[in-house]
Amino acid sequence: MRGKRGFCALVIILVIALPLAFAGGRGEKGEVTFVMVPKLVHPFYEPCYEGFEAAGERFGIKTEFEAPPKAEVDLQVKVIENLISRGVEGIAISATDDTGLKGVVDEAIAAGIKVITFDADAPSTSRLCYVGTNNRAAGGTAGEKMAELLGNKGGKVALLLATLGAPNLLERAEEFQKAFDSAGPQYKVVAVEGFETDLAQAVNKTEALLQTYPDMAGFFGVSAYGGPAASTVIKEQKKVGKVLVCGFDDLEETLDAIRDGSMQFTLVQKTFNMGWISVDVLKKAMAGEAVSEDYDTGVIIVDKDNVDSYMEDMKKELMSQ
Amino acid sequence: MNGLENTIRAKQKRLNIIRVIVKKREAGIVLALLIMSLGITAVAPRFASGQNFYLLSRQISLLAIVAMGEFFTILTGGIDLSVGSLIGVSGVTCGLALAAGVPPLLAILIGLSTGFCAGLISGWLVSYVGLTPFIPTLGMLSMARGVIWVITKGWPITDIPKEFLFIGRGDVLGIPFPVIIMVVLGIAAHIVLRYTVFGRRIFAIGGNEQATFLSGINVKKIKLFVYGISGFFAAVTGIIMVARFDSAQAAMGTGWELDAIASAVIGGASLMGGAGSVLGVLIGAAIMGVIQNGLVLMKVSAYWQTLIIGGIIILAATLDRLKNK
Repeated sequence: MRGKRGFCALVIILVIALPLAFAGGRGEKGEVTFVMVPKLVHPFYEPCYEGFEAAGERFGIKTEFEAPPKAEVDLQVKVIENLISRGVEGIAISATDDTGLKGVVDEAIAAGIKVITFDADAPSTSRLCYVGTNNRAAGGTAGEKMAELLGNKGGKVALLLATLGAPNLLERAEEFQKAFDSAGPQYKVVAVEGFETDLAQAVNKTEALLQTYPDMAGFFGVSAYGGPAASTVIKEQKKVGKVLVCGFDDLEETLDAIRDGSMQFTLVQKTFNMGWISVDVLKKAMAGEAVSEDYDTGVIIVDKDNVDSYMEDMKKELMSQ
Repeated sequence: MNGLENTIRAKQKRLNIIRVIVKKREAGIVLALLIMSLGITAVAPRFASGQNFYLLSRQISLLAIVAMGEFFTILTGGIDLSVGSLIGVSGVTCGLALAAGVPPLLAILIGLSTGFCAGLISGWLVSYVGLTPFIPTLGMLSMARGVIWVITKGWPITDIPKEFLFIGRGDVLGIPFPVIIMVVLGIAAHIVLRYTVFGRRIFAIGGNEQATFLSGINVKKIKLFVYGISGFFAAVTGIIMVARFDSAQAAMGTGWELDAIASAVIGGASLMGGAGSVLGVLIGAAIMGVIQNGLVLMKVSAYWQTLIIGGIIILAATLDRLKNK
């Protein structure tokens, strides 16, 4: 009996103490603090925060990174509510959901906090502006380049999305299809497949698609894992160079695939710029300056020629402004 | 006279064999699998090509292996919701070892022990602390995935030595290596469950845990071990996946627990425990793989696939239940 009660007490103490031990400290009063709130912890946001932090240092602003444990809107709302209680000055959110954030964004603005979105927009909220990739433009760029690479022969292309319902992926896919199909009748997007964020499923879908369309000419990996999945299968089936692959974002696997030729190019979002410009915009907003609706940070096409230098080039270009 | 008798006896023997086959528990789902495959081939003839079967069998084997491990826990009337995360954490520890220059065999052992030990932790919580299996395995699902995030911060591990890739990409006599692993493990699991005391006791626990306990059998130790086995099988899948994709990603294995459970249930395992067979689990996994592969080959819109897969799972399980009532 004694042992059991002691055990219960220990568990309760641990449950309360452990999260506190890992919690960050509070900011000092009087210091301006901007916080970046991504959808979840993910390597994609690391260069975003690098840019955010670098700009903070340049302008003398304290910067922080607060990520929800999972890409779920109610968790993101909780994080933002905590920031409102803490009284930070600016928040940049990569929105997990659009309408789900309306309430908390309104509360933040009412509390005098400047709120913008980056990377993933929430257009129906009252955020000041969106800093990030115009996904439609990116998709269109990819479609044009793919048609160019296939040459006059043209060919069939399949799109690999991740979750079928992500708005930014759908935008990219739609514009890719428009740009690609309109290049001529010999260019056709024949299939759109989805997979959860597990590489195994993406590979299974790619294999099945190659079975279905033996004369498939190319794949567009609309989200980060699609490209590496297609490259893996192309390499295995010894079709490198015969089936073209274009990807999105710059996972290490994607860059490796470009280096070994199984992927022709990838569109890399200017994540460092997103972070940097977010701080710049929040600073302007605090000073009462007008900020525009959208800042399209754009994408760069990374292929064999610039695969090792693009990151440095991106940073140099921005910080020299 | 003799000639006629012999012919009659021969005919009876053949009918008896047919009767035995049809009565077999798995006949229902084998039939379902055959009908499905024929249907798909009719719409998309490439389904029945040698290359497609090669690829498909490899896809199925990954699921079948983790489903067999899951089956062990389901047999005792329990469940293991953590297998997806255990695939991930075992793959990641194996990948880390390989990237650090550890020899492949040792790295494999490290991966296998990770899955096995994590399973034992769940098993301990179920057997000795007395939690109902849903809770500790759900917790382990988050904890194992969390361990992956803390170690990798989301970055994949990509320095996998070339020799290791054979496990996931090689083949022997035209049969993909993962399929061979699946067959070996399947035979081993079948023998253990059918012909060893340990196996019989697992069935007994599922059938009636109280009665088994009262007859003096150490139920706690067996259940502990069963969750370790589940973790072990998940680890095997994780390691094969690392070899297959030449990398260990933080998200690997996400969601696989549901497919593993579905495979076992379609294969005739009762969630109450005490019923099912390894062959059934393999066929269940095959059905899952065939559906997913077939829908893409039949050019069914990706948006309809999820709905159809759910429907077929329910249908297959219902048919199996009705047949075995």
